[in-house]
Amino acid sequence: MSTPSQLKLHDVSIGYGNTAFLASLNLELYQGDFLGIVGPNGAGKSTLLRVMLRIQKPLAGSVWTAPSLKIGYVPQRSELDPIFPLSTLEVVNPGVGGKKSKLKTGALSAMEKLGITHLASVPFRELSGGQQQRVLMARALAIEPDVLILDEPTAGMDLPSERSLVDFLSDLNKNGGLTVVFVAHQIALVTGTASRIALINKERGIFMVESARDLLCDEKLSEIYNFPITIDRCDGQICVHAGTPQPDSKTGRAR
Amino acid sequence: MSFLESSFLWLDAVLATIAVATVCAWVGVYTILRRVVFLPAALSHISGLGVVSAFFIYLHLGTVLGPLTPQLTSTFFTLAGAMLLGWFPPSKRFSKEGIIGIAYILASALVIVLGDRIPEESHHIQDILFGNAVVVERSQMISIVITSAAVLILHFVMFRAFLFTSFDGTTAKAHGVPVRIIDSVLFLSMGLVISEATKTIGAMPVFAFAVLPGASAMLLFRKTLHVFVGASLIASGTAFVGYYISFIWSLPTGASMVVLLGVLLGACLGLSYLAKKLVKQAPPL
Repeated sequence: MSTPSQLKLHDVSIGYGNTAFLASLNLELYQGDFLGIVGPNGAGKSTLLRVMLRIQKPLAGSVWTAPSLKIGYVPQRSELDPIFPLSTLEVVNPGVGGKKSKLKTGALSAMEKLGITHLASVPFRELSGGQQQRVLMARALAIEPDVLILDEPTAGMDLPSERSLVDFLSDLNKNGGLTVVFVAHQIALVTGTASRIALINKERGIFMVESARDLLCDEKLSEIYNFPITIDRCDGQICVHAGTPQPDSKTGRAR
Repeated sequence: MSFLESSFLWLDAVLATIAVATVCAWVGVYTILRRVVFLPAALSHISGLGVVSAFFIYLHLGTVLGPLTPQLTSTFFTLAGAMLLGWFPPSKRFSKEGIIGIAYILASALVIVLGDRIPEESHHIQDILFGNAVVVERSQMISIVITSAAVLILHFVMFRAFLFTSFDGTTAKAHGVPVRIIDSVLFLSMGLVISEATKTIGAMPVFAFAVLPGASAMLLFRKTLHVFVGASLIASGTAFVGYYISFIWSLPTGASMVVLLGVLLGACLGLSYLAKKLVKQAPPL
């Protein structure tokens, strides 16, 4: 039995005003997918996301979502105004968009899962970047979504926090069966985790979706970033190098 | 005659002012959070434009628009203005505050231009345009108290929804919340409050009650509900004390309230600064 489709973009054009910067995009999201959307800054990733979330209409083509599909969304932290005096619990459980008792239970369970229960009464704006990110994740998970979409969730995070977030998402995907769409401008973030990768660059009119294995080659990545990029596979790990790597004098491997 | 002995003179006016102050401060917190603090000022002037337009049309077109009283046209203009300004998407060329500023100055200028063409009605217009906090008729007081109570109940019921769409409209939309409808209700309630309040106590105190108590409460309180309730309490208290001060010192009523709100804001700034200093100096636990 094939995996059911949850979201489909058919011949979609995206852009602003009447100007399309990417046309004829086709993308299908399946249950249990881990899709990484990768591209340089200003590549059109967020616009594509808004179209997938159905909060921006495509300039052409159609967007289909499975009936009663629930999408949990994690926005970029920088989009949220720190002027709001909301507590962590108020952010995780906004109190609208479902039954009150269900929202409350979902919020408490998501906070526990992400280890932020002790922050419930702390003002959201006083949290560190990593804590804020976990709060936004908890809000998205509180509605018990079928698909979780994250817009550059690791921006401004240190390396360990970045890794722990990706591991958490990978666990939700593999063990919880949650479909994950992860937007990043660094390809290294999704190489080991995503089952498929969508590369996007509006400046060069590029949009390609392939399995991570097929897409991770020097030529394709260098084309999308317009910069020499080298993929090196060693000990089961994938390393992404910006520029041409120099071989190690002792091992002969790329550094 | 003492202040209390003369209560028959001021009771209706004070009750109306307290009602206006309480509701303006509550909705005003949203203008601070959404960073559109000049919206109440622009809406006050758009409300005035509605009044002048009604007189202008009535005088020049005769009975065609007779049934449309200036009060009704002013409410209609303000609600339309609230929706348009609330919905106007910010662009790269103009910030939302820029658009609100343009609406404010254009409405003010149009009030003067149209008002110049209807001189025989000028004092009548002035009464409606700049209703004053000194004398409020019983019927007007009852009307504004009912309107304020209705808007406060609406805001209490929709409190979480208004907050969510104000804080993160994109996520709210993605999670299936009807953001357009909720925002429309918020802006319409703002328009209604500002329009009725301007006709009751005048544009300047309405703008002050919409912005200054909210700013003071933001400095004093850390919790969301405390900010809203605190702003309303500061506003209603100032409305009464301001009226009292203006009565015993024979000062202009609206302006006295605004100055008092300014003094309170200064005090809150000082308190907030001191609190931060004390927290910094406190030894770690």
